Amino acid sequence: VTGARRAASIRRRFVTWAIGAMAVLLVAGGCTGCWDQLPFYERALALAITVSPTKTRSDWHYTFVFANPAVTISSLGQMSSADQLFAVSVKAPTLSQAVGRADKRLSRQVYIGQLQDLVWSAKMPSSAAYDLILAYNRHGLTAKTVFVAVTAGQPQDAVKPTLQEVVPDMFLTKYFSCRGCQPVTLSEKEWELWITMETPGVSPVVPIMSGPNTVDEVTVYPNKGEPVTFTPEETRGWGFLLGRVHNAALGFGMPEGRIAVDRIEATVANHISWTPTGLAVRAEVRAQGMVAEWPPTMPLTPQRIRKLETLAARKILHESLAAVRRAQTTHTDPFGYWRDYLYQHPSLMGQKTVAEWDQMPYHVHVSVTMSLIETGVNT
Amino acid sequence: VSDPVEPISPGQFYWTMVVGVVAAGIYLWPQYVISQVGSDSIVSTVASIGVYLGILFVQSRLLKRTGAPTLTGVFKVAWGSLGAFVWMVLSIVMVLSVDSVLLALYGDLLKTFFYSMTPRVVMTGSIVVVGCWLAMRSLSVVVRNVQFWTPISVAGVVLLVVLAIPNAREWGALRPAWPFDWGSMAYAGMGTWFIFANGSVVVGLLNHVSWAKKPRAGLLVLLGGMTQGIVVLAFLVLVIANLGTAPAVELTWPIVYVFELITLRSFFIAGAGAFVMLAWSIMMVLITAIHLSLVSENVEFLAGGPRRLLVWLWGAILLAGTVSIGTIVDAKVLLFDWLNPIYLGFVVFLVGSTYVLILIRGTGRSRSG
Repeated sequence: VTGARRAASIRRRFVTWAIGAMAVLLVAGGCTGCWDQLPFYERALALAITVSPTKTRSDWHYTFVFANPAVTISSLGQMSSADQLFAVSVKAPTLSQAVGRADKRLSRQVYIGQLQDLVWSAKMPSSAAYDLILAYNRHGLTAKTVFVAVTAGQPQDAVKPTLQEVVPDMFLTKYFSCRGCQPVTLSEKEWELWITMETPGVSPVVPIMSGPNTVDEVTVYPNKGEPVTFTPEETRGWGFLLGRVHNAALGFGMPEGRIAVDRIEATVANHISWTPTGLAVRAEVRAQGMVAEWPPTMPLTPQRIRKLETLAARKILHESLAAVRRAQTTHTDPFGYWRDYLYQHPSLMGQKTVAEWDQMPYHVHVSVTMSLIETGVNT
Repeated sequence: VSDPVEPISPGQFYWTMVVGVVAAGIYLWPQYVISQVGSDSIVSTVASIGVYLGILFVQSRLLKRTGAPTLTGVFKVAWGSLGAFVWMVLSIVMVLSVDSVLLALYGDLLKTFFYSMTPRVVMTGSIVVVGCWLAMRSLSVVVRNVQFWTPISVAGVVLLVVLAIPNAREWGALRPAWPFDWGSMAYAGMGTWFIFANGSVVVGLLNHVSWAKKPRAGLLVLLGGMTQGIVVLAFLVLVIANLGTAPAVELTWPIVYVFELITLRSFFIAGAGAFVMLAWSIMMVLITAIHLSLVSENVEFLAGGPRRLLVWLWGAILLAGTVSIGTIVDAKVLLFDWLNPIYLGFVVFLVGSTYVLILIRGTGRSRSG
């Protein structure tokens, strides 16, 4: 009798255990969501998207750039850099439709969650650029950390792989993620651009490629009309006024010969107050740098260094004021002075649209303090 | 009906309070507050943390004074059996409604980001089933799981917060603006209640805590409440400093967006924010288990009944509530326009009036310490 009872007890325990195990398996299976997966060979991972105008006003050229799946460590040696990528171009009115058409063309699902660069043509008006960024930001699982840029030439020429990479990195990605390579930090990620677009009192700024592998200017997008491109000097001035200068160099002449100052870094402190004719901004730029080159006939005495500091500060001031003038004449605010003011007075924000706030007037008084140190052996 | 009081440690009690801040809808935070008061969100949130700590403190005094094993026990001392029954039923309705909205929204979140082809009920159902399975065990099993998982999840979230700090650019948006808009501030303050509601439920476990040394119930409760407050504030600062006030309002899931922006190129990790999902899912299971377990305990205290079976019944009700909620927009309207103010008003009234009643009647045995 006891044996039968023990057997029944063991059976009961086994049944309980089996039910528990099945429940766990069921829940685990439910959690995997494997039906939501898409096999690798049904997907195409886009590395870059470029957009340019077509002859018709409603359509745009969208080019999707993909890594060639044949790129492996062993095949790298036999491949030219041009073969590392392949591209698909479609004509479509919106980004979503372009993705759909590219899907059909490739008979794969285009996946833009791993995108590196988003480049569009400088010929696109502001409104089209705004629409593109809004569409991109809302297009499901897009990588918000993608780098954005504008190009003066054909956008397709702007996306080239860098060599020596197994998984090809785009040139722009390489350049923008290298902090020391950019004298003024021009890199802008998609989410940063989107936030500037949505925030009242600041105009979006995008780096522009003026030639192959050259990025030393920015373009400011007013809410309406054509984008405004700053010259390299104005761009640097803009960088000084935003504290974005990390590794710049300056050169200027003196009676004794040419002087070069490098490794310039700058921070800025703004004091903003309201006046009836617009915001009054007092911008205090504090820069420091190293005297890199000076004529052998000129010994660097402390007085001489004070003199160089004044000259360098004057040059920075000149560039900063050029940037301010350019922004004021085009009714843009790439510095975000009104944004800072509105953060302190949020009740004002609803009184005007984002587009109106971005065009509000401001006056800037810039003061520059430069401190220089000398490097190397004083010969 | 006598209820065997299972002892738990002060640490387990602490983590059971803290679990709520990660699970209780932090993924909705802090959009509503920012949409109401913009730059003043921090002031408003600090004020609502103050109100929350006040409620917690009165609750802990009540529990200490009456020595009741559950909150229903406190109501019984003040209001009698019938009154306690009514308040208990209303409290359960509140807790389960907020839980079902938050669970539905979490299901929507998972659906949006990971399982686009999966019905929401698969996600919410899995969480409820695992939660019930845990809750039907004894209280000590539940809190031991909480004690194990919560520190891991909190540490993971803290790591992500630290990684997200370099993305912060809009520091100007953090400075509070003067003068305050008091009406909007009050609305914004009410809008935080869903995050803190869990604490006012879990505090009912206070008399389970067995003290190795001198009892410090009030201190422990305030410590738990303050930890929640710090996490909530940290997330608020992170979102505002990352996005500014205007764009944060445009997003459905601002916290997820902020975590998506973390990239660690050197580790080949893009979108480190996906890790937070693991922590959140575990926390959702734990908070479901705690709430179901506490609901059963309160019912058992007043009316008895088969605990294990009842847990599944409450779980089924919770899931039914989740299924009945429509879209993300519906759920948000329900939560912010209805449940938050009603629930907060209910708790303030109930805790306040119970305290007054107990003072007037002079009932309840005072325990030393």
